[in-house]
Amino acid sequence: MKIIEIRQSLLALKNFSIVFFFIFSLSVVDAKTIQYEKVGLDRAQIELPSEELLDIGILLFDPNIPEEEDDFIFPEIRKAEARYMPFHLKKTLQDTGFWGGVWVLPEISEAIDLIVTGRIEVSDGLDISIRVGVWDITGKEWVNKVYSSTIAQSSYSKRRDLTQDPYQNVYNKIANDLVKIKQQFETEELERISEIGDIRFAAELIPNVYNEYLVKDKKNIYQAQRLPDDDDAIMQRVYNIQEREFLLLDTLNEYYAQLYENISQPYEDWRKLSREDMITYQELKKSARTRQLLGAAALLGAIASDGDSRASSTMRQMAIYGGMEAMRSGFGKASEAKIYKESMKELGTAFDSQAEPLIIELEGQTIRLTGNAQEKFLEWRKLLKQIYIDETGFQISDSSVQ
Amino acid sequence: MQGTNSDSGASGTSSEIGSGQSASSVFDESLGDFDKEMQGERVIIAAANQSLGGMTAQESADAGAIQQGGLDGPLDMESGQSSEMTGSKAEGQNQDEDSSENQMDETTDSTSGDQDEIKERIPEDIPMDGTGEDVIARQIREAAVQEDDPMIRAALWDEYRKHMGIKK
Repeated sequence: MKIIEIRQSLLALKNFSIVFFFIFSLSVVDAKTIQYEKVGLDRAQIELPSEELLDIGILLFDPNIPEEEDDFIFPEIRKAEARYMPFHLKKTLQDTGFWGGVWVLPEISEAIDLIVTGRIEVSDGLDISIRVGVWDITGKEWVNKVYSSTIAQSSYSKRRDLTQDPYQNVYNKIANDLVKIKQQFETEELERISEIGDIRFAAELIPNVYNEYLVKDKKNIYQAQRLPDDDDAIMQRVYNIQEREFLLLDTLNEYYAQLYENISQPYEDWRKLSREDMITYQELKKSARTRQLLGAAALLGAIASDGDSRASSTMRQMAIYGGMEAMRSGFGKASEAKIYKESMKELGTAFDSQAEPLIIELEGQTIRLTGNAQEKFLEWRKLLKQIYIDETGFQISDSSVQ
Repeated sequence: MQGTNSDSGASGTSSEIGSGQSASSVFDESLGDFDKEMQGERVIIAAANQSLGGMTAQESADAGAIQQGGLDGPLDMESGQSSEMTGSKAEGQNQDEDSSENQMDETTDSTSGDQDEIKERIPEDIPMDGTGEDVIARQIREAAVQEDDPMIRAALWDEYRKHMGIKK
């Protein structure tokens, strides 16, 4: 008889511990610790010689807008980010002192030593994730990886250094990686990259003349077979055109700078509010899911438990009530999360409509400028061909110059 | 080497393009034209930035609101004080009102003066009311009207005409 009583007491204790564990779990489920990082920017301590300065072109980022509507991705915001982010990366890279000219590019250019591409994977004010690719003009891959960071509230403080973007950690990581890779090259190798770039640009203008200066190796990387003479008059004209390409890019970048300045504040405001909503939303969603699961587990445990004593019956009922209550509160949290989701949607829609006309205006300017420049470049190609024939007496086949 | 023995046949075999110019001089001229175009663009951008004063749309709106508040403020304060005034002070107030009316007249005069100056700066072939202007055209017009240098102003109006398709 005594053994049965002891067994029932043990069972009651077991059930009590389940309920205790369940209540304890609910109290800690909301706790979340985020580790924030702080990445500094490597800056050149001395002015670098011009031979070591490579030019960088950052292509407009891929906004990565899904075809199907996504509650957390706002097309116009993504389009704005796809222009804002490369411009801030340009500013960060210029700030290091390790590079020559740095431009944001609407399309790929053969005139530039290093090309940076980016695709926005996540950007909601709390988390940022960008896939970045970097190739030099020889075709060698420098970087192909995803850069991510979780953004601290202090990153949005008005008292911070306002030249620092809330996503600055990611920009600094990219800039630091590029410097590390660059430092693996000897000065002569860096010079060679620039020289190959110049020939590739020349080959773009008069292919049949300069294509033979280059050869591709097994890895599809360009190598220089020979270099143009210093007194190559055609090459001097190619440099003149290259300067005009840089002038065009300078002008285009003035327009990108305008957009950058215009959306800077509303974009930061959106990110700040979105971050707050996102934290609350994620916590509520997690809390709702955990409560529902724990509630269901407590219910199942209570139903499955046996024991005839009054104590165990009381504990069983407690577990059932507790489980039901947890599930009910879980559904409550889920609907609260839905409200935050709607709030984020409203925030996004508001900034979306603010950004849209600015993007359209910038696109208009870009198309106008690049369209005019393309006509000029086409004219220069034809003239270069004619000058080459005039000055050398050699013929170039028409197929090489379109 | 191809492309290196450049000057040897340059003058003798040079083909002529269009108006009897050599390809080389057409090339140089074309580069110069491009530089001018880009220079024009930079003037427009700089002028647009200047007219915005480096402020965002929201900041400009806020600044406007503050300015408006600043103008309204002292007038409200004066009217508040006037209700407490008596006798001779009221006469003084009348004088003040007269002088403020005079000030308003002066303001109106100076505003109409500004308007006249703006009208003078807009060439005859440019519509005064900005009919059919888009954002860019409006920015160019604002920059041109604000520009004191007549040479740059003329260049800006040329850009405006080009953008709007107005033949001079």
